[in-house]
Amino acid sequence: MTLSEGEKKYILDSVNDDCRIDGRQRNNYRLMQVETDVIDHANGSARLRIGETEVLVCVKAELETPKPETPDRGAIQFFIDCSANASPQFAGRGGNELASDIQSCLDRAFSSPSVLDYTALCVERGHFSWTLFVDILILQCGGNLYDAVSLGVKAALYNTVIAKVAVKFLADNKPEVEVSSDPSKGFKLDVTNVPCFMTFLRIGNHCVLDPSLEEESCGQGSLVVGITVQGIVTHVRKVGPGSFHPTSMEDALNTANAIGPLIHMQLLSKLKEETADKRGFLR
Amino acid sequence: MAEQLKVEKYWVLVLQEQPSLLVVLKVGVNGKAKGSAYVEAGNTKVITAIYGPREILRRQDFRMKGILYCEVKIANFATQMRAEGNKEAREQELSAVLRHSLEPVVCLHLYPKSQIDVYVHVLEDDGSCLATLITCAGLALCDAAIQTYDLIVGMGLVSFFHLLYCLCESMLDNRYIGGNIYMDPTHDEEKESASSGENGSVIIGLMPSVQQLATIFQYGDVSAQSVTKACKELMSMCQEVTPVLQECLLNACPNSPIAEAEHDDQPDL
Amino acid sequence: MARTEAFFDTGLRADGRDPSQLRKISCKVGAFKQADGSAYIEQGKTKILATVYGPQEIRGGKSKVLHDRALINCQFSMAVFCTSERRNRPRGDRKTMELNSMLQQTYEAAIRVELFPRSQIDIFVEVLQADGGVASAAINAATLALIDAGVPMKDYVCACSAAMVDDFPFLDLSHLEEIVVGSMVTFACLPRSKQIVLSEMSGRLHLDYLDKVMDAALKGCEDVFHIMDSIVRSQVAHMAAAMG
Repeated sequence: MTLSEGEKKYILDSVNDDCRIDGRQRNNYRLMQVETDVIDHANGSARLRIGETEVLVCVKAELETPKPETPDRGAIQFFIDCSANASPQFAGRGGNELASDIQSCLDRAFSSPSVLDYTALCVERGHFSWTLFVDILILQCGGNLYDAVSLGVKAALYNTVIAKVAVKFLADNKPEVEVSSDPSKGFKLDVTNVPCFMTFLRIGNHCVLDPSLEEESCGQGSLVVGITVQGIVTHVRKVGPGSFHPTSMEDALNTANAIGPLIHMQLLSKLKEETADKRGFLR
Repeated sequence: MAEQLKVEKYWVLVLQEQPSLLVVLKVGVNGKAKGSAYVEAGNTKVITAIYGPREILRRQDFRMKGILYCEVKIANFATQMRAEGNKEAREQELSAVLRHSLEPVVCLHLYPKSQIDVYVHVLEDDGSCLATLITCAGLALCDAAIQTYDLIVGMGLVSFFHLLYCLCESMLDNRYIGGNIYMDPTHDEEKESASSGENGSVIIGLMPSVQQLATIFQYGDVSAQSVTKACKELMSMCQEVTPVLQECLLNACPNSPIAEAEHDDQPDL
Repeated sequence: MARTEAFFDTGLRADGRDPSQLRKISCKVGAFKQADGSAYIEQGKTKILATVYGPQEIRGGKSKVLHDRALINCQFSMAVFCTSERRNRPRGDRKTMELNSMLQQTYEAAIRVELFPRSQIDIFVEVLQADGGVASAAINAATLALIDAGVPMKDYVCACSAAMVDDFPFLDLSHLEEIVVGSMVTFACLPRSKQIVLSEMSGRLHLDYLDKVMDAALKGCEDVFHIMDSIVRSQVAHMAAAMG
């Protein structure tokens, strides 16, 4: 989005006055909406909307052979597709760079073993383990993609049910997988320690949380902080063309420490009280 | 402390406490490229070449600010296991992080409709890869006479236990291993850290004169206060190491009095 | 054997429908406000999203400019999670390229392109869940999105899929039925003038059956037209009421 100099000055002044162009304060999020179970034949799915940004996350679990260096753990793999629906610039290969940036951020944030219990995904040590394929589709881009994607991932993982399977060894020691015929027999993942990203965009001398598309066009660098509900930081990365003063960075990290756990608790409480009235995109 | 030597146009640092560890700096290693640098920190070896600024050929890419194109390639033989892990994803990540680190440093508004290419090759990766390659890219930028806001000077710490000052990195790699901090860890130390308690890695990119963090990259499980504390310590170490890198760059200039005094015809590298 | 599984003794299909009955169609026109026009359609379990950008200036080079008409640019993409087996890539493979060109040809015939020289109209279709009838649902969604964007067209473009099973024409096949039956046709037409803008077939069909299947499919298109027309009219009435 291109802004005129006057508009940029307006946004800069609004941030200085702690009253942004949509009336929020610097540390306020926009309205968030979450809905799970949107895709029928997925293990878990969620649709998350922050302001104008909308993402659809789908989790599919597939049985694969675990890596030789980690025979008792499952794995998680992310794939992000920037749909052309969000912006004509994403048509063809236009969205690949942005997608790979967000993907590598997610990979890093989820690389520490305390985030998910990967051993619970193991079915038979050395032979079978579940690989979670988390596919993210960005449907609308209204600023703050990192947050939306990470919250969507958390919601989808909360919604994920993986079938209980048993492994039998045949006569020649070949393993065979038996899937339980009862579809309701499955286990859910513990997503308490799953991190969420918080994006702090530097505009002038202040950092704003949850930037909108206009603010992103006039901001300089952003700091993406992946933080869990217990306040453990799993990933920090600076993106964008600007630099940060150490005190700004410290302020951002302290804000993340204060607000991050609140966002987690809000999300989980909303997911728990979700009713069965699912209308998906028809709403 | 440390002894600086000048050995055949290389800046070599021999550390008294750990004489087997060498840190090597050299700029202008590649005759064909506009600017180049080679950095060795312990066993990690990185070489960078810079081409540009050159014109962007496609008209639709026209913009008033220059574009930085960074490509990091890790040699197949660089890691302990050949072509270890997900090499392509790692290369893409390093390229993206390098680009985000160099963008605040280079005066891109002075290069409209132009592209600056930064090609980094990691010849051997023994830990501190990201830190070393950002330093190397920074040195190469200065060698290429690309205009920057700050002279990216490098400094790094080899090991917190020994409190050694290794004068070659602008990025400091700070690792917590169960409460102990290892500065500039080796590959084995990185692996050990990944399996212990509160463990993580913090890498910063500092522009020392303007006191701005060009980049920060953290992974692992650390508390927010620890990240801040790590950054403060890294920054103070950076400041101490700045002068040596500056001197290394100065001496690489063809008209400097030291270079003229030691004029020799040996080929580069 | 396999073919008769689709058609039980009771005369109903596997999901309880009549052979000439369409699946439930629900749509939302204007689902995404950022695009110039958008629509979301659910035809049974097939969920498709379509957005339209334009008419706008041509992106990406003056070489593509057409001096007397608009350029139609379509992108058809199937999300990696849309089928029960996870796909490797959302677009760029043969199936999506084929559907891409189908969409392009359809809308080149239906949109009044001569009204917008030197411009570009983008049509992006995203399949969120595929359960048969993807091509027809995509065309229906794109039509609604174009109407939402206010792009002038000659008529609605309505599409329906059909197949011949044991002398009975089946309409609007689900994914399971598509696999079982083997050969399927998709027709898209301008309902008021009964002109066919797209006809596509997979598998083998005996020539004697062609007329029957085509008539059935065009009847299906007419039904789809009535549904879409009522949705659009109620939407416009709603907007008019809101404007006072």
